[in-house]
Amino acid sequence: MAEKLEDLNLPLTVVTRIVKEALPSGVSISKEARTGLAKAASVFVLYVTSAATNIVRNKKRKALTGQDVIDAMKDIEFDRFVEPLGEALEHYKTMASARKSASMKKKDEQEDTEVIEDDWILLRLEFKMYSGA
Amino acid sequence: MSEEECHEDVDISDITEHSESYLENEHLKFALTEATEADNNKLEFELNSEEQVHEKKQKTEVIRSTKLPIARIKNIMKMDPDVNIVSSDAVFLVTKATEMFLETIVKETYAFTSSNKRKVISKKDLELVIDKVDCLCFLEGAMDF
Repeated sequence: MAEKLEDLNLPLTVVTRIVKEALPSGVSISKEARTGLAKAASVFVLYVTSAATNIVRNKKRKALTGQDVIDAMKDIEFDRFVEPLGEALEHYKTMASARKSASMKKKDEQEDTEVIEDDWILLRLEFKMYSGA
Repeated sequence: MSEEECHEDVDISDITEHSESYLENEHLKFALTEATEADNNKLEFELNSEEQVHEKKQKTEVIRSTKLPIARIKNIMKMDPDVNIVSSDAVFLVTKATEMFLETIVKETYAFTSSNKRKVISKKDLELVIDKVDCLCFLEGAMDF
């Protein structure tokens, strides 16, 4: 498995945007510091993953779920992330189920339109017949 | 019956027209006298509600979307040899957590920068923060590049 160095790095522009929004206006960040922040973020991802994987292994499961990530926050001393991440997870689940039902609804709607079109054609035919007579 | 015949035919529209203009005038009078105060209040209210809407929008945006690329984060996670299956909500949460982490670390770093009366965050500030803040100890050596 070829591991490219670029894949470990997060896009600098996005990192800069996130960081700038968290700071008051008029504050800037040196290029080195920006690279450092991007790198820190990548290390953080690995750190969280490792902590979450430990939890999964201790519970003798195989799949890493969102709840494991939240539990990992407590282990890595980022307790203050627990609540906002919990909310984010709830919204994510709601969105996922909404998307699923929307795609199913779309399928139903497509079938409905076909039926309506057939009825419309029938109506026009009937009208033609009556107006002809 | 005869009484009814004596009465002129009144068109209902005449009545409504007049009453409309009457009401308009009254409304205008009222509006003029209360204008400044009402306008100020209304403006304040609009501003507040706009702010609230903007804040609420921001809050829902914060919760629902991510800025960092989820696919890239997933690749980084997969680099851990102990990782088998990762659910999509786990990747989403790691992405969100990383964004929150970035906000946290940069705010902490800025505290150092501003205490030195500077406005440009340097790599040295970052190194200082990693050294001082306990929960950032996992970043030791990460700035050696």
